[in-house]
Amino acid sequence: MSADTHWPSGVAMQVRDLAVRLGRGAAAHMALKGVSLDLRAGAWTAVVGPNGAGKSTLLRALAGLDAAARVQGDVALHGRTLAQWPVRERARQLAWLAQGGVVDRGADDLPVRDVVMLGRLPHQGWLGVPTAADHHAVEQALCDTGAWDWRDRPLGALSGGERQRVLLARALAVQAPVMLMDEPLAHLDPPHQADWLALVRERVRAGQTVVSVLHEITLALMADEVLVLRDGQLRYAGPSETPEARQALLDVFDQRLALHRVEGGWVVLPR
Amino acid sequence: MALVPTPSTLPRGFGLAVALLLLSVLAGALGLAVGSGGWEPLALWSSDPLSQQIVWDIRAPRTAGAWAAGALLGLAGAVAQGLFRNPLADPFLLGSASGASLGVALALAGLGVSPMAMGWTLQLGLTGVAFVGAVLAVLLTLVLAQGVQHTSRLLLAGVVVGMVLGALTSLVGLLAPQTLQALQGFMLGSTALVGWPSVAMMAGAGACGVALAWSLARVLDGLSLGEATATSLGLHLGPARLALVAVMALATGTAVAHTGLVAFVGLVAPHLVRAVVKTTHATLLPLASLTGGVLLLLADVLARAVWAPQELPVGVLTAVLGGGYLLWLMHRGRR
Repeated sequence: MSADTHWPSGVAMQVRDLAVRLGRGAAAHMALKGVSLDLRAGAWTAVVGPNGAGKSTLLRALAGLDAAARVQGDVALHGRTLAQWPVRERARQLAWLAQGGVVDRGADDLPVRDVVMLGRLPHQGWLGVPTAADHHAVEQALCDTGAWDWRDRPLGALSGGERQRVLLARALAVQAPVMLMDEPLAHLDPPHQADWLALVRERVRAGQTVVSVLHEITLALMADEVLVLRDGQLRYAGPSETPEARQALLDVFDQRLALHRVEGGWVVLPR
Repeated sequence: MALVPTPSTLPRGFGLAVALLLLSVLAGALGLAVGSGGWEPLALWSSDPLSQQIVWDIRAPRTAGAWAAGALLGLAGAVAQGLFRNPLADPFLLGSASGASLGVALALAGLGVSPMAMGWTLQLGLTGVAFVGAVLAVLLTLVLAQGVQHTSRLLLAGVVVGMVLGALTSLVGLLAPQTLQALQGFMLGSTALVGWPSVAMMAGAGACGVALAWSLARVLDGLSLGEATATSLGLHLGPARLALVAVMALATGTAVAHTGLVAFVGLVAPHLVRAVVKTTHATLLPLASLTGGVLLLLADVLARAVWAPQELPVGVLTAVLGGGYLLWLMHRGRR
């Protein structure tokens, strides 16, 4: 996967025969077993599947976060494999929001504004002082997530949902063309889930590519595309509105879901 | 929601920095005035050569040395807590303290003398041995942890190295009982033997350490969000971690080599700063150094004053005060 000339138009990232090994010794197992897919540029793709299906592993692999020794196969971004990208340039292209960042207390003593400013690290020099563009990006992200009012409070003083919105603002502040979010709706109440949805749709309209791991299947079925995973294998990849997508969902969750048509969308209930 | 630009006020922590500098000067003046000779040497400074000697050769270097050692420990503590993402991390992790102790124990057993009876060349030698011990212990920890990639493995290896070297130090003490008292003094921590050469070495190490750590402050900020997020932000964690561990070893090793195992200053100084101002590491690191310096200097003055003309080992005082502070923190955290 070398020359840009062969890169299909409309594809942001390409994955070929991706296999990822996690754990060591007796605990070693393949979290992904040969996954190939194209991520559509300027679209919102939702990644769904039961616990342990490999959703987060796939997202980490898309972000290039695992040691090369654990990963086989190719992940390419805009025509270049991740390894071919200079690290900082890649960091400007790919923003990644960690799963469970809310329960991690490591940044509790940092003021919210400084947490969000960390999203600007890929744009700044080694000792770089924040530029006007950095401040603007941070303020924009704080406003977009409704976190502006707490900008001077330490992260540790916020509730779970508020923290999640600050961490989302941190990822937004990177202003990367591709955003990878692992369970971005964790700890968010329904109105703020709706806000997140509106934000993602606006970003996608503006040309950004968004990939999100979601446990909220109802919301996932509102995405443009859906990737259905189980046991480290891709069971479906394509538009979310197809009967095949819904059938794949029912299959990977062992028919323990019920899909109901409500007001032009799909509502998923556990069964 | 309007985008109101924040007025460019003084940077966060500026007030604390000024207060700490003022406190340093005040405590420094006290440090010159307190000692077994009381106020007199300072009053007789201009006329009496003996008084001049007491103030210039004993009290001044000791005062400056206590401040410098405290600053080194405060810096090492702030780096350790950021690097290991643990507010209870202590600069004596990674085995540096036990390495320094073992070095001193071996040197004392080999030479068969007490540090009190030594000229300052020998003392400098002892300092060098302690420093080498600290650095070797940290290197051993790094080898056992197979590098700096895995924080938990690094901490575990540090604990193992600390326990094994501590046991070896006790063994040396048992085999050469004549060194026990001197070794005890070192383990308790004391600023009594600090001379100008020590001050110069600590100041040099401190300046290098603060500069290097400050240049990596953004890596520490990034790490606070977790290793994966830091990596996704394009930070080169490997080399940065190695440099930060080196700063920690240099700062701790230098302080321990000159003042022994002064407890709690490295642990408490960053905590005190964070209790007053929540800020990034670029501000926290220098403030923690200043706080460490003020803490150890005040403890040293107190250690000289409470029992005058006798004096307490300053390490005992910092252990009691630091322990009390931590208990208070625990109590406050539970409520």
